[in-house]
Amino acid sequence: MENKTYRTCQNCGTVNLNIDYCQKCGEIVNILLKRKLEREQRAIEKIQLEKQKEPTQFTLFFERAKGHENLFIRYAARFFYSIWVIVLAIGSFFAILFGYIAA
Amino acid sequence: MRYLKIYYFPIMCILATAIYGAQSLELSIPRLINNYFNDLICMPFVLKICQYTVRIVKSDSKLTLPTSLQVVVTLIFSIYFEFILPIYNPRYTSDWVDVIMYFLGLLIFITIERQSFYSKLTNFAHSKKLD
Repeated sequence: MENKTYRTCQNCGTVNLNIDYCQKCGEIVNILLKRKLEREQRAIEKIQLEKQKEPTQFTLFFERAKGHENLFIRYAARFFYSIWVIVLAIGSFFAILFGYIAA
Repeated sequence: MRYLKIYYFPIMCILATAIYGAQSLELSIPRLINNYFNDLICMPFVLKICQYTVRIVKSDSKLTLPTSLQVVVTLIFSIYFEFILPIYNPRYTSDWVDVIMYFLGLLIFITIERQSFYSKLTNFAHSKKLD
């Protein structure tokens, strides 16, 4: 037995059978599809917003220093800007702090 | 999972502060919580702060720490608190259960912060639509 879904268009009031878009005015009548498209649109806008975000001054400073003509500055920037060094520095700080608090 | 990811850090901080306060006031706390709870939440706390700092420094809100780095940090904490400090400070005692708690905390952090396969796929599909 075929599944029949009647959907009334919110725009013109036409009753549509088994279709997602109104056959008279073209408006979307399938609410689930409408919500899915809105969710996808929100996700796309979020990604676009993330892409437009400008990097901080701190990031720009290190990005420029990584390409510096001076060898020492270049490698020092690469060293201090690496994720491993940042995380190990913060981890060590907390280890010493917790050791001091607990003692 | 989304709400857990947002709220687990402040909840952890409140619980840790409450337990530390109770210990300072010498209130009666269950032995397991008194001895091991702070060790359990130590690694998620530290790794969360590290991840947050790295995201600000690198200006990338989706950045995650490499798993190898997380394991190394946990190992450093285990060796420092359970091997090095007990040698130099009699206040500290070596306890292998604490090491288990550190690694359990690491597992909890990885589980909560892991981006699900579906959200990775969705983000990839949406960014492809934009290109």
